Amino acid sequence: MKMSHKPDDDYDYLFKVVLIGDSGVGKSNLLSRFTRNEFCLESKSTIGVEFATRSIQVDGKTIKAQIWDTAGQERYRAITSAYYRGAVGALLVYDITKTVTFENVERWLKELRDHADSNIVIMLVGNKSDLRHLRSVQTDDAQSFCEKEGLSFIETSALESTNVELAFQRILTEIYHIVSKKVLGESDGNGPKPGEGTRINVVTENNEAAAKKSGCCG
Amino acid sequence: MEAQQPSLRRVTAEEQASGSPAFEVRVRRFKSILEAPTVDVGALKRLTHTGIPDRDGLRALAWKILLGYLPPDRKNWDRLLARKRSEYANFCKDLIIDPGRGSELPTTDDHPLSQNTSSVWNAYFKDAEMHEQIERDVMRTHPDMHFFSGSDGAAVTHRKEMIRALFIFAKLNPGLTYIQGMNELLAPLYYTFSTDIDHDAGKHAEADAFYCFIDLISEFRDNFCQSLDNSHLGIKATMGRLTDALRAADQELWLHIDIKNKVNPQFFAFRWITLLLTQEFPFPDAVRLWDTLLSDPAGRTECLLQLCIAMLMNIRNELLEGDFSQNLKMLQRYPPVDVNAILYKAQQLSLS
Repeated sequence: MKMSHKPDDDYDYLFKVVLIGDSGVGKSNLLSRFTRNEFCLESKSTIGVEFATRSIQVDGKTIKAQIWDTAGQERYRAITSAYYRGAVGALLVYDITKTVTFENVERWLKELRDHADSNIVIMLVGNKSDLRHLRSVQTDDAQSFCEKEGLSFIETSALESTNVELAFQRILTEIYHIVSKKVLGESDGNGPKPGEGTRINVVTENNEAAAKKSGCCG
Repeated sequence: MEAQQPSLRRVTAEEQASGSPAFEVRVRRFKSILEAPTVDVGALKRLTHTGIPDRDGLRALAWKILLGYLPPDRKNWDRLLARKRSEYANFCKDLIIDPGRGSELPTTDDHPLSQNTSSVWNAYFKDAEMHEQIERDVMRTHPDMHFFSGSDGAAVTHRKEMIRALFIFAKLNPGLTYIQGMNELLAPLYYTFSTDIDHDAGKHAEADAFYCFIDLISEFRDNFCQSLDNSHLGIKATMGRLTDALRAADQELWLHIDIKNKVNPQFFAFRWITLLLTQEFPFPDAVRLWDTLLSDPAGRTECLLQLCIAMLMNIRNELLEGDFSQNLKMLQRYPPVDVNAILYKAQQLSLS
């Protein structure tokens, strides 16, 4: 049977991005704000993993972002390590009103180093910027931390919808530039060799996201 | 083994409609079992398997018996409940640390800035961290239900009691402590007991739910235990059994979602299993599923897996048409269904 071709399936690139960070920093709300333009003041806690997609345009190309949201508590990290497979981007989220969630960023970076691809693009996201009167992490401190670690940085408010679009747009653009440069300056023989007009998956072939594209066979 | 298998039949709409003759018959059958001097637990299980009528606190009582909190002999109930409730009150007194409570002056080693790991203050801060996590999750329990998330006094009390019960559990189980998701397992128990028409019992919902939660989690605790993840007891093994069961029950569907689309059960069944389906359905439906889960002759884990398979097969046509992304979205946000169809399917599977 031939799969019906939905507009959702017309894309040039498929990028897998994970959302990580301590429990309660607002990961699920960033996801729902970006993919469904929804915000829940009290959304259920995430157990295991949640998944959503949205396509955006970058340089005239359609990029489909496959975004994975994970549980924050320690216990779930071992289980979630599988979710890092094939991820090309990570939004590492902390809560600007809770210093401890910023202090734990180092632990999350280690988590990424242990489980994710070494070339993964990481953006630090200070969420809940609407709670100005409760701020305990200064923008400058986070900024200089990011310069030291070589990460991009942005502050967002999923509640007020500030910078959420921009955060995703930026990380996806950054990934796109790396990938398109890689394709042009083809140096290593291992990467997928794209022909004219073919679709490029930066995810590896044993990955579930890549498997998804085999939908037109059979 | 005696034949306890419930007969394969679908509960009719009439039986579920409060006030209908068939509904009243069911209510009377429950009452005759629950009001006997000695409860026939086998008969209670058989009857509960097809759902407990929402009436007269029948569910609160039946669940307490099915979870082993109340023994079959009625004459022992008052004494036992008094003992348990006072024991729980003592846990609350003993386990909630208040470092300022000690009458003695602080020692040189015991003050809020002490680095000593055995310091009372240190324990207090550790507890505070756990308490904060519990609080955060209880605040997020059924945000769509006023009972749990309202801003009036009653809802505030419900949250306070749930937080305390989970905290006491965590303190008494240092090997497991509090794991995210436990709030979702406590919620149906606490709600059911708290809304009991027996007001005296309702007042003790916190203590009663606490003990029933212990019984419930004793069967499923391995799912929460990180050190068992890779053993034959842990959550990964349980998900493996789910995959095997799907393969046996519906090979075409298994081939499609597991092999072709590579939708790993970790991506959806992890939550189905650890939360006993509480996040997949509207609250009353989840409660109805728990009636069956708590009374299944094959055991609760077995029943849970059958329900999961039934959920998959119930939307098999939609799944077979979907790709990875469509499958996953559907499984993570299970479409609205009549849970009776799932229960019926699960029962068919258990008899085949």
